[in-house]
Amino acid sequence: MFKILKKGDFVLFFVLILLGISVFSFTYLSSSEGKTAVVRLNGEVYGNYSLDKDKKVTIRQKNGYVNEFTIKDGHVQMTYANCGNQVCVRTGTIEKTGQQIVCLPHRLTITITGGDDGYDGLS
Amino acid sequence: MTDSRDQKTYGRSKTQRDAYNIALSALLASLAMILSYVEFLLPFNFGIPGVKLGLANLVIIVALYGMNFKYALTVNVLRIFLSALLFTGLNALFYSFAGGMISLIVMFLLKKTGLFSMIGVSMAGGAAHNLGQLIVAAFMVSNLNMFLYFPVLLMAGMFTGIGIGVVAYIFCKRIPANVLPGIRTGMNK
Repeated sequence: MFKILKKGDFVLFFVLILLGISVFSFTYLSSSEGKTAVVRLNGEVYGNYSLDKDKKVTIRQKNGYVNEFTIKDGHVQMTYANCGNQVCVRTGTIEKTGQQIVCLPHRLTITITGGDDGYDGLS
Repeated sequence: MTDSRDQKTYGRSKTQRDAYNIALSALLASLAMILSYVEFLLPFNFGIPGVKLGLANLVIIVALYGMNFKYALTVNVLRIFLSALLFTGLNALFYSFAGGMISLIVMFLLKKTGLFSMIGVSMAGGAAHNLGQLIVAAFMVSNLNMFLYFPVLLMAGMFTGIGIGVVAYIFCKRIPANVLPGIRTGMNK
């Protein structure tokens, strides 16, 4: 069976595989920049913030919980929280769709949405 | 080896050959439609949306190797329009038309170079088919993010193309040479 294959077939095979891998890595690395940061308290939407504008937002809850996050150059970072474990502050910056910062003691999440929503049903 | 021209035409006159080729391409077009219908009835679902086996491509390859580009084009266009009208609906027509045309053109050009076997040609055809459909889909929703799906469809097209190519090769090897003029010369090129 392998006698019928020519050298060109193998070259073509690897070229196409390489093309697929490069397109995959290219799209994966570049196209999933998010558009908005959605802040939720206790699972309910508290506010939407565009990633285009740099700003600093402070969220004060009635029970004395304070969180402060910063949007800069399309990245979101929790810059201050008066919670016990500081996990949210240590998460660092997020910028891609689907990424999340969670402050569990304060029941607060920041999720990046918009931009690419994954695959469409059409194909 | 006898005279290649005589071997190719089997002593038929030009009118006879034309009539034979017209009948043969009609036969191949209906065969392609039946295969489209089989695939419509029993979708070989790989769990990925948009991935199909492309059984009808088998006939197109046979037409391309056994006859020539003109007849393969005729068979392809007939197959696409008729199966869209009968089974899949007009919405799918644009997708299958774009895919079928790009696939056929790519296969024709690769065959012409003589560097690739039937399996390689079929593999490229399968990949090109999916690429054509994806281009139309990206135009329809005017969203280039569709191309995130490109690697998946590329791989799927390649592997189904290889499968179809192997079957086409076996088919062309077995079929009597006087049924499809030029099938042996096309294969050994």
